[in-house]
Amino acid sequence: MARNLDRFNLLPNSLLFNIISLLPFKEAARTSILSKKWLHLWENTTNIEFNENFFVRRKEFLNFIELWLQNHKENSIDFDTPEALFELPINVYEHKTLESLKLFSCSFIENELIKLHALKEVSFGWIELKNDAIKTLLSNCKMIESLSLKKCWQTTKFECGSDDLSLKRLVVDSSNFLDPGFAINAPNLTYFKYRGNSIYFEIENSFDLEEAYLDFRLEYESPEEDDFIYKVITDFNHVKVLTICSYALQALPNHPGQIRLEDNMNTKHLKIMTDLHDEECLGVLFFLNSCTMLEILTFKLGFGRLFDGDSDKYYLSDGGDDNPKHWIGNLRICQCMTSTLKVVEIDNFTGTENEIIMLNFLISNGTVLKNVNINVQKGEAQKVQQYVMAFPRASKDLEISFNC
Amino acid sequence: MAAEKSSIKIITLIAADGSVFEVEPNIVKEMKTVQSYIDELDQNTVSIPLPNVFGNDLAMIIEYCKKHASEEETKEAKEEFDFEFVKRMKSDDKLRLLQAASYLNMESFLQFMAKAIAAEIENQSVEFVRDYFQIESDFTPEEEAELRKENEWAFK
Repeated sequence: MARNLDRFNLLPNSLLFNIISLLPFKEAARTSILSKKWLHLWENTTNIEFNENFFVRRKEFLNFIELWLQNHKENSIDFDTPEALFELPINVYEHKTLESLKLFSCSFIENELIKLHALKEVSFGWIELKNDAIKTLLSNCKMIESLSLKKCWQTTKFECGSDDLSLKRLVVDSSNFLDPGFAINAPNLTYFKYRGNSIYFEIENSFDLEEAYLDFRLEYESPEEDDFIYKVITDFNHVKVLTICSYALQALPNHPGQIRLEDNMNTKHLKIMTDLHDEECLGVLFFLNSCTMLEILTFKLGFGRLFDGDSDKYYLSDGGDDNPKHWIGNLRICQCMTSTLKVVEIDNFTGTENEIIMLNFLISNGTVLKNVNINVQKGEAQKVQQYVMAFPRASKDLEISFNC
Repeated sequence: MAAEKSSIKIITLIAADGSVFEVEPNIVKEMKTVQSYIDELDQNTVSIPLPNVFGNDLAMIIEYCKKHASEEETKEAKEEFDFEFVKRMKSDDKLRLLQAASYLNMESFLQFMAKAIAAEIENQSVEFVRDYFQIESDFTPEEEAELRKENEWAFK
């Protein structure tokens, strides 16, 4: 055995390097003091993380990064320096094979960046994007599959698109566009997430879109009686998985006409971020009526936001209140409840009167329901369970489960 | 190219200690070193000496290849197998198998072993890692102190 053990010292550098690259960056750096042979091995690790928390002073951190980038050429760079505005070192632009770039609070030279034709994944955060930056980037770097903007600001409309775009994932989170508007033409887009103010979308050619997440809770004005949200939902009516927010629920019933979209929606899985306030419930019915092929309905409670001033929560124990719940008059059995709706999930169930009414309505009318999964807040569990189990059931093989 | 190779039915692998293993061609596909040897020959049976791999190591590698080449096994079953496979190995087994994987040019098995080794040395002291790889430090205590200071951020 001794003879075998001796051989480990002879492990070739390429194998040691293989192991080091699988270690976290900080751990990799620690291998430098094992012996002289190991001293510089870690510096070629492919698993790089520049994390300011590793360092005592920012200056040391920035020096370290700069030194590192002078000495190395990587396929993937992740920059995250909160607050401090860092300038992407010039030599990074020479890494023609760079595939992934994440720049948080890190400025760059646009004309150089667009020469990185191998880029697949790009994220920007905490930065101003100059006029047409996104458009220019996407039209030059056609390999980009994933683009993410977080807390960015731009002076023009967000615009990008052409028929040969590879873009599959687009995330726009809490970003501001001074000239509000959003136009995208991406034939390969499968995932779209938007969080921010309500702005005008123009989504073209997005036939492959499978999942959309639309969150307008950062909007500061209350929903108006225009058909803006109605148009947005119409544009996304073909996606399979749709997440919608409290704002949309409150805005949609303002649209004149029936409580539904004119065309049927293709949504199979609907996720609703709400508190099921009276102001939101009519919006929920709007979607139940429109999604005629719905299979899974998920309520994410605790994400409601009211735009018409404060409103009290109506708890079970409150008994008789004199607030007319006009939405209850609109509870009618809709197509999906008797044909496709199999699963109802409720997250963060607290047992407010509206939660109970909505759940009762679904259980006592959903003839093909198979599973109802309820996540209850601790302390409320017993009370809620008793109540819910007593609901009349329209479906024979329904299972109701509770989790704390 | 591929069609004429199908004539080979059984491949005999001879380990460093002389132990002999007979395997089917699909088992050695992952072993690029062996595969390139086979590709150059045009016979029904081949025997290939592997002077850098010991018998018990080769037995383990073949066991791994059989499991992973099987189309009947589910992904979960393979993962379960991997987990148990690593669990029953000592650290020097892993290092030996890593070398064997490198010699046989088995990309995914090599990565698998490297991962298992990385997992073992992660979050361990410098002394533990030296012990693990049987490394004798050739730094003087002063040099080592200096290096620790230079990369202070990593040793906090």
